[in-house]
Amino acid sequence: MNENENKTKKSLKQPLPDSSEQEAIKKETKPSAWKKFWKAFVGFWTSKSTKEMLSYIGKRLILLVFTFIVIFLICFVLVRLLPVAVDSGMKDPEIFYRQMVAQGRYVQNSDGSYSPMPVLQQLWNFILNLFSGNGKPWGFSYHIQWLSSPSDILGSHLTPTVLINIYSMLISIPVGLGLGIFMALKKNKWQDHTLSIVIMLVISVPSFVYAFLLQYLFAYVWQVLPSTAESASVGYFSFKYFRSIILPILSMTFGSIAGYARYTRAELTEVLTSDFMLLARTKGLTRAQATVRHAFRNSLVPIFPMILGEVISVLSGSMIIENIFQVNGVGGLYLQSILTRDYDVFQFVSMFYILISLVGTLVVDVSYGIVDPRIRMGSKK
Amino acid sequence: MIRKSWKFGIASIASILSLAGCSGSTGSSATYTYNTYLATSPNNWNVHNWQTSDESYITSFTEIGLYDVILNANKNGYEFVPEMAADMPKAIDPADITDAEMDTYYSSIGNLTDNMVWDIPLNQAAVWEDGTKITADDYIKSMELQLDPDYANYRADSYYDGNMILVNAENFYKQGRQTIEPYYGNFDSNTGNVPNDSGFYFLNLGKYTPYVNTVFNNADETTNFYSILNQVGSTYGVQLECERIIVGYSYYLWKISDHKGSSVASSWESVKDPTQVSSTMISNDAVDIDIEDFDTGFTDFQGFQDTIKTIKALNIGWEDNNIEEYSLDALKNDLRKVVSAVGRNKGATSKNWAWKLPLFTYLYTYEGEPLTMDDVGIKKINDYTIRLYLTKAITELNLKFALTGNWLVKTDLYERLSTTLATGSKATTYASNSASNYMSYGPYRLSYFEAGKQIIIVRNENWYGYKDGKHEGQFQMDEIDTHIYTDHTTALQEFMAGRLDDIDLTVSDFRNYGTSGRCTTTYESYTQKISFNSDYEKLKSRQQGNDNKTILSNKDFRKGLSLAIDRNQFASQATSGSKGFTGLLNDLYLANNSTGESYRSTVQGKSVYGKVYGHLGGEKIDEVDGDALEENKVGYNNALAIQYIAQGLESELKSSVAGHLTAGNTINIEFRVYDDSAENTVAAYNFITKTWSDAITSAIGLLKDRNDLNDSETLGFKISMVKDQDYYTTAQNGGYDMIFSIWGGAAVNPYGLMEVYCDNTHTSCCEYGFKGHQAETYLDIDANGDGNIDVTNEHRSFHDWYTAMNSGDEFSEAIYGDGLQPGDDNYEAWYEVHNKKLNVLAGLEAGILSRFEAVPLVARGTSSLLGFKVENATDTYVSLVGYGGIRFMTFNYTNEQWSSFCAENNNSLSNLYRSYQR
Repeated sequence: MNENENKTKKSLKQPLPDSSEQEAIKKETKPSAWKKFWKAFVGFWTSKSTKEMLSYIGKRLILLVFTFIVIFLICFVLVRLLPVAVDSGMKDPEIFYRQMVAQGRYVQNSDGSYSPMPVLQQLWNFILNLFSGNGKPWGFSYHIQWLSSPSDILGSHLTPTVLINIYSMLISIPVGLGLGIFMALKKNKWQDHTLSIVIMLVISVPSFVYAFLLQYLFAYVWQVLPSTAESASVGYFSFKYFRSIILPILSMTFGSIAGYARYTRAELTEVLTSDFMLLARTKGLTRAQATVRHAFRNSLVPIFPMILGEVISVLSGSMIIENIFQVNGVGGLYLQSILTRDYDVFQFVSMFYILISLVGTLVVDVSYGIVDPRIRMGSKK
Repeated sequence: MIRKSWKFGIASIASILSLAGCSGSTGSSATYTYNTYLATSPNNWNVHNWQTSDESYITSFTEIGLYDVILNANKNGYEFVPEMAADMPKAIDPADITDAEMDTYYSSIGNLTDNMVWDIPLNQAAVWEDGTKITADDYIKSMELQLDPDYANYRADSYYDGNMILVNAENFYKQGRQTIEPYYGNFDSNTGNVPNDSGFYFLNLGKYTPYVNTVFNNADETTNFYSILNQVGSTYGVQLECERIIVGYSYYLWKISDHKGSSVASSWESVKDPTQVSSTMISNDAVDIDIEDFDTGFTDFQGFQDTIKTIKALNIGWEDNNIEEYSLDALKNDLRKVVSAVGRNKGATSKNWAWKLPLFTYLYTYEGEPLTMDDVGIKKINDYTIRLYLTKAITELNLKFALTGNWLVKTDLYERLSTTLATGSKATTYASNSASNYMSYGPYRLSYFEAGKQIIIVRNENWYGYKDGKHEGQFQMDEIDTHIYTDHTTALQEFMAGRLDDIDLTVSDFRNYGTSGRCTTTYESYTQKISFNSDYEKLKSRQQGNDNKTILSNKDFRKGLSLAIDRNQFASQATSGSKGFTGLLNDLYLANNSTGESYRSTVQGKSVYGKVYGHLGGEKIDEVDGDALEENKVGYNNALAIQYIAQGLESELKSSVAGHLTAGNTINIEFRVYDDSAENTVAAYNFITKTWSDAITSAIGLLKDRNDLNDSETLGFKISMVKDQDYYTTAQNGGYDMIFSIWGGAAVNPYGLMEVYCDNTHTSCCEYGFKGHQAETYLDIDANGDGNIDVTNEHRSFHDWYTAMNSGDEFSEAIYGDGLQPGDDNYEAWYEVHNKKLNVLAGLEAGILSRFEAVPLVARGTSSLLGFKVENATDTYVSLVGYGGIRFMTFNYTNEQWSSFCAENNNSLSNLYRSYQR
């Protein structure tokens, strides 16, 4: 052992600072961490790119509000221009006219006669009612749920739809991504070809076809699952209800799985052949490490907004799937509101979905910049 | 990082699934559960407001009338039983009505006669599902809400516009507001004004007005001003005026709306100009047109301004040169001319204001002092008796019928759930949206309601019937679990898996399961028949080139076509539950409403088949014998059919009349149908085409064998289906060869139904064969049954027989009493008249059928399969009570036993249902 080594050992053998000293050291280091964080935080919000993004989001929000109002106006006017089913008033015209007045479609004149209310006046009344604070800003349902508010009706139909979509998403995202990765790794091998054919089949066939097929096989031939969804009486979060919606979940899932798998495979295949993957391997990473740490993460950039879009769309229901499995969800509600001409319900549900769609689009667009910092939102360069 | 993500994902799934396992399910302790379905979810089930049969579904279990019609002990008829009433209604002698009552209820009505005041004793054991007693106060307050003008309840008219009219009910309901009412009936015949004339007049061709009674002596609520304009214009020389009014009105209807919600929407879609608007479309979708719009124009629902247009002259196309803008003055002139012309000698005048008579106007139905419930003809006598004061007399039978419905609501809940709308009117959410918004009082109570999904109805343990000893063996089911299945295939598969206990059958389902012993049919009082055009001239004008249609004017030919149809085969192949039938009045029509005796089961009813078809089964069969009946009832004998067709062809071939059938012609029959793509219509068309083609080919062969037709000569035959959603109107004008005619009416009044055949002024008379000469077409009927025809009394026109049967004293049983039984005073006199009336009815039916212009095919019915789990009380369909209903339904299996049974059969019962025979 030479002298230098001894010095080193000595220094190592020096006694550690006592606890009070340690505290003092900690106190000295803490402010510096905060400072770093604060500096980074302030730096982020004052950076040019952030300002550009915030400005972009602000503009998009203004555009969103404007778009929403325009769509609302178009929707309102078109719905109100739908003809009144005149035969509904045949038995007692007086009752018919009074209902029309109650719905804001007609006006009773001072001489007792009734006449159609101009659409612009209907719009004005609607806006006044919206801000009147009378508890029913969106009016009443006259057909689907007698005199209930459209928001209550939508609320009562949301749970089954959201549940089915969440369950479906929890299955389709991991399975779809997993299959996509597997296919990309097995590119042009028999596994890839087989799965590609299956995926193309699933994508090509409309979801209601395999919905019927699943119902027939699982519910009536093998009799392992209920054919239709249970009612709310069993509790939406009961196992019995979950079991009853397995088939609609699967029906909703197949298409998504196929979509994710196909997309992931395409993105990952492209990334795997990139130059930086070769660099990663030459730096000594194993294939798995290179694939997971570099290739997959990069391939997620276009896939993530797709997932985000699906997360937002959990609130929307499928009219066809809900009809086949008798799910009392929003898809059926929307259809019913059109068929029964429940104007207020149709108006509310439409605007609800338009809002979701607009917000969803904004969030997805913004997410591109968050997922991949190279993408600068609102940058003019 | 990835591993963490996966862990998070798995944890998320696990947490959701564990959450999913937390909530329990609602178990059921029911032993007998009836599982059924609806295709449409009811919006509400408020008895004050219900409109569709779905909306009365829940109350059929949870409510019950003061009286109910139930299957009788012999299970072959019906009887009335008191339910919410303690006993049968008691007519109050007018002499017992106090002065105070007279002042309150009858001061403005005039004479008080028998059967206008009735006491209803109430069932003292009746309670709401929460155990609260139901007393007379509940009935009075419920009626007040029913008639409350602020609620404007849809069913209010049940108490002022039917058989049972409560004093002041209409006034109470309409007080304080002007409603659009017919001008006629409210105007002063001296001045022509209505009280407080608002100056607003409305034209509505599709709505009943008493004015039509001045023109048609048999008008009813389906008769409207359009009927007058459409039918009598040419008779009175005002055809142009009539057409102008119709076209102007049609123009408005055509332009104002696209009628997407209409039941005749497809008809509207095909309309290219207002002359194509049919009576059906006007009747369905009529609106009140403010006649000022004829001057000012109108705004359609798209916001476009337009003016009403009409035709300048008759028989011209809808082209610019032929149309003109209608004006208010022109309309008034046209109306004035029409009213003056058709009103001759029938009370209408030619005064200047006569044009107002067919119109409608704003009226205060009641303008006196504000009315209270004390003025309405329902009064509490004591806690358990109510008295009804009516504006017209009603028989006990009709009163009991009227009181099988109920108006009872839980008034405090009803009012608590009320909302005042922006218009100031009220609406309630009672009996809608949730089970908590409702209170039952019948054998069952509503336990759960989820709109669009499920309705659970369970036994109401507080119902009096489970303790009173009068309902032993009734209402066996504990629970009715109703699912909403909008998709028929899903419902069918659920039934086949044993999860539903009944399923309605479509035509294709019926082919698979129609022969099953579990198939039951609910019959309607409608007969589906073919109506031929038998008018030679009309047919001749319709045939072109080598086609021939005039052969249809040959009675032998038509009879042959009728005999060629195996109606049982037709019913099984082209319908979903109808049964082969050759009469006009099916088994549901009642000869005696008190006993429920079916007209078809009477000697007279049975004799009709033989009178029309003779002895189809051969000499050994007597026409009133049971075997003969079965043969004649279906009117099928192919050999005879060929003979008659050949006979008809032969006489037409030999005819020298212009346009007659000649060798080389093709008999080309246009078959007008409502929907040429409907499954059952196509099946019917195919069946008839094949049947008749075969029969005519055989008949032609017979003619050639007889050398009545040379071997080289041919006759073709073709039937083409033509879609015509207003084929009745087409038929009334004679512009047809053959239509499906489906006709029927109230099963309790078969006599009245003959109107459509016998009264040439009837607005909907569709039998063109009479060509409006029912009053001059004579028929011999042995009315007194002595075997001889008395030419003085028993040789009358169709119209006269019909009129005598339905009005006057000659055939009136009512003058001897209501519901008479053997041993009662006047029973023998009543029985004699009753038999005479039946003889006339049977004679008329046979007389119409023997013309072979109306060829019945089936008695209409819809079929369903009843699950093995349950059993109806009877296998024979009984008028008014069907197969006994839920009251008498029994269970073959408990819920557990049924589950085991289904499991043993692998939850797939389709083969069992298909092969099951009773």
